[in-house]
Amino acid sequence: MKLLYLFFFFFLLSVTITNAQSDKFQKSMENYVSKLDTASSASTFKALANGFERIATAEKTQWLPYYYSAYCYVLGAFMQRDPQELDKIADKSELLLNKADSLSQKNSEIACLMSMVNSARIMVDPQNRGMKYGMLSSQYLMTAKNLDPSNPRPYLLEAQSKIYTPEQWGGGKVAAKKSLDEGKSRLETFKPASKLHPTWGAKLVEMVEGQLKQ
Amino acid sequence: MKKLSLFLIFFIFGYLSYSQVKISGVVLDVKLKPLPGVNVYLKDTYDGATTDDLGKFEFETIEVGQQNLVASYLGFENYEKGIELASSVKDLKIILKEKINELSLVTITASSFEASDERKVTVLKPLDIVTTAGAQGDLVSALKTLPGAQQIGEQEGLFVRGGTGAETQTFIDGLLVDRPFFSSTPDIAQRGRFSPFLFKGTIFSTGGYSSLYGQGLSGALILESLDIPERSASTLALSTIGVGAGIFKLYNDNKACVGGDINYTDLSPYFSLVSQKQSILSPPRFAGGTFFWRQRIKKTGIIKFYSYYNYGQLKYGFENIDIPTENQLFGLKNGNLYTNLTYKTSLANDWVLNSGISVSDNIDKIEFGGLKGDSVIYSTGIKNTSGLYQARAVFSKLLGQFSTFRIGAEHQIRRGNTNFSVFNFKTDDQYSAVFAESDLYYTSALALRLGLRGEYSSLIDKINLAPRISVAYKISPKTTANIAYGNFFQQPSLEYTYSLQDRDYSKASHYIANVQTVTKDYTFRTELFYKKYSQLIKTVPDTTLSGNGYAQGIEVFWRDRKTLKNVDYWISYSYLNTKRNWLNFPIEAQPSFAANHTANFVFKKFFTKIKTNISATYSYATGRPYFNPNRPEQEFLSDRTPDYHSLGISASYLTTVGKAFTVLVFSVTNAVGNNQVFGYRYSSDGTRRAEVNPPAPRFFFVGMFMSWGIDRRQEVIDNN
Repeated sequence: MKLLYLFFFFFLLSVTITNAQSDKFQKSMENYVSKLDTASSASTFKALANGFERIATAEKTQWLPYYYSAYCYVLGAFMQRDPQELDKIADKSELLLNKADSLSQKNSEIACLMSMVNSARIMVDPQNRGMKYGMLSSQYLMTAKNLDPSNPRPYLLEAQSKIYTPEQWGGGKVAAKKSLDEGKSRLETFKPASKLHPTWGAKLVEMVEGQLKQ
Repeated sequence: MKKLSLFLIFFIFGYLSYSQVKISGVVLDVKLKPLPGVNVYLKDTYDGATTDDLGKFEFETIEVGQQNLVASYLGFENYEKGIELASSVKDLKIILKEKINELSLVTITASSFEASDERKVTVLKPLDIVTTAGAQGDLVSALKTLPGAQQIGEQEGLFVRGGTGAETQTFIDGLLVDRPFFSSTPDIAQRGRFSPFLFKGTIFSTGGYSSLYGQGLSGALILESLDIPERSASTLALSTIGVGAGIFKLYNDNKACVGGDINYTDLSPYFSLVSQKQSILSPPRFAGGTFFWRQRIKKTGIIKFYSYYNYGQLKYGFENIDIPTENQLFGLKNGNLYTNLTYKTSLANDWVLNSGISVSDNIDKIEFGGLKGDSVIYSTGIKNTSGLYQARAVFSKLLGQFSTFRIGAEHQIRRGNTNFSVFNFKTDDQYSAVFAESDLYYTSALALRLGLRGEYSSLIDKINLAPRISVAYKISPKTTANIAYGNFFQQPSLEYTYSLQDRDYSKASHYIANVQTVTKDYTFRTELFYKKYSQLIKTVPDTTLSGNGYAQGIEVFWRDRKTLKNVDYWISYSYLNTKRNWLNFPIEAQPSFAANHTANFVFKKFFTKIKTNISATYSYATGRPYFNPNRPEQEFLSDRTPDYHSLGISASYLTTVGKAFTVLVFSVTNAVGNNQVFGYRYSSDGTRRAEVNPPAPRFFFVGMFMSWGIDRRQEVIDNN
């Protein structure tokens, strides 16, 4: 009897702990993901990136926290002006994305972020880097579209990059509008795999629309 | 028993929910400045916080016992420390050390201009070196706008700090290039053979260069070839001087690529429109092609093959100063082959191997003679053949975190053959070198480079040993001071070597000190140098190695990419004081290839609205000495040519034609048409003289470059 109780006790203990653990993952992630929508300052993105990274390194097997941590770093990168800092951030994001990629291969969302990282690198020195990183960035967008044709984000990112690309180079407002519409229609029907999976894009639509009106 | 288990369960839940401890503190850097944004957490838990603007953090945890506290921050070393969590831990003080990365390391830059590795803040970028109006896409012409190089228009080569063109050697992937320029013709400087876009890195050293290279008394042009491009593409070029087409293709999962190009240059249409000083009998016509193949091997290895062949001919007549009724005839037929094969790989114990072999062959058939009108009245031919076959291997290893050690050897077989009427003159030399070099970092701000090079030539049959040393010190994050010393040996030109009784190498010792500040938007650099020549060739009264000389001066470089919108400009200034006694000089004198003051102003602006890039280069040099036979010996080379002015302008317009990215280019050299006098040629009695100047005051170029698959327009703009 004693033995049975003891067994029962350990069983219970383990159930509580694992439940608590996955529950904790879900809750912590939800908490941080919900904050993404309202975040706007570099310091908030930094704090969120740190939070996601803590979860990522503690869990070790989940790609989403790595993905989100990189996402926060990339958004922070676009606010950064010091070129050497910018490269450091891009390196860090790539490191996180490589980890995410090893946990979830051929993932359209990860390819989107890789594209953003390469776009961020252009800002360091547009004249000299434009060609190489611009090309890498659009290659990742292409990959992202192929991996998941229903994903609106590669189209939205494409729209954004086309606005300031001269028409002769395949850009311009007309081309951007076309990509934007493709993205928008996909965004309306897009169903994330779970509450935690990426759904962002609405804000980008607003931003691109604003820029198109200018 | 039930009670017990319930109790246990409640105990566990209670434990999970109620026993929280607080951890707080501050994170600082080594200068005790607070660091905001640091991730402070307990290892392998979710619990942690990000530091605020004052570097402060605070968080709660339910963990107990021994835990590891981690603080991590971009660009800093991770901090990790065990802590015992019994009750709250307050007022922790964490100090993070900045990570030393390659970007913050001091680099050794005495006398070298590097254009490579986009991650580093270098003086120039690979594209910049050719974004120079007037250079007409020629790498070496563009490098002439940098301090240390002379504006020499009548002869090819980089004339560095009082040295001749032959004193600066060109290397591709470590291998010496025998004939980096098209074959010489009288009074016309020839272009370099290699397109600047073959290379991902360029180092132009005007002295004190690495022990890995030798046989240049004054300088080295060190070129590193590209790896594998990002995408397959094809190109087409149409211009007033010729046509060209190229293609390259990636395969094997982008781990390999193969490609090449063919081109044909014909100046006859151009010469029929723009008259030349010379009377053209056969305008320059060249046909050539390149082929390359590159393959990655495993993760770190790469094998590269490159081959170049070009055949060309030209014939013209020019003024005969001795016989005014006749013209001198010059004709040239040239065939040139250059190939190299390199292999780079990682070896056991962190050693890296860079190896290569190269074959080059050159044939010049030169015709000399006399012309009356356009008909040849007499002529004679010279046939020069030369070959250079070499092999080289360099092993390098990282010592500690940043210091490196390199050791290697090379062997060259050089063959030459000159046929002139009944004379046949053969040269044959076997040259070997061994070298070792170490870059030692004492701190991230202080580096020492020690090198030693030993060379042996079978023709000279002597060993030379050349020690070289450089020190670099970072005064502030953006400012570096360098000093360098080194010995450099070079074989005298082979035709002289045979006449020498006591054969040996010519020698130069370099002493260099510089300070440079490099930021993203500005570059400032100033350098002092002293160079001492000894064992230079004397041909009068006898062929000996008793010649000597010196060169000293100061150079300044300023570049600004920010002050004016969409404008990038640089200014370089070189002061040179040099004299030598060599060849047939009766006294020590300033040689004809040295001007005392040289200045360049390079300007580039992109007009976004009209998608046009305009660039201009203005070069100035004070007059150079020329030989006047009417002067007594004490006044040898005491006359000076008029000052040299040159303004080159180019405009490029970007567009698309069908699916092809297209650039239209217009450029002109010496736009204002200054009379450029490089020297004078005297009649044998000294009564008449003729100016040595360019074949036409200006050179115009109009071209269209199209590419499919890759946007190469930036390259083309920069190339013209």
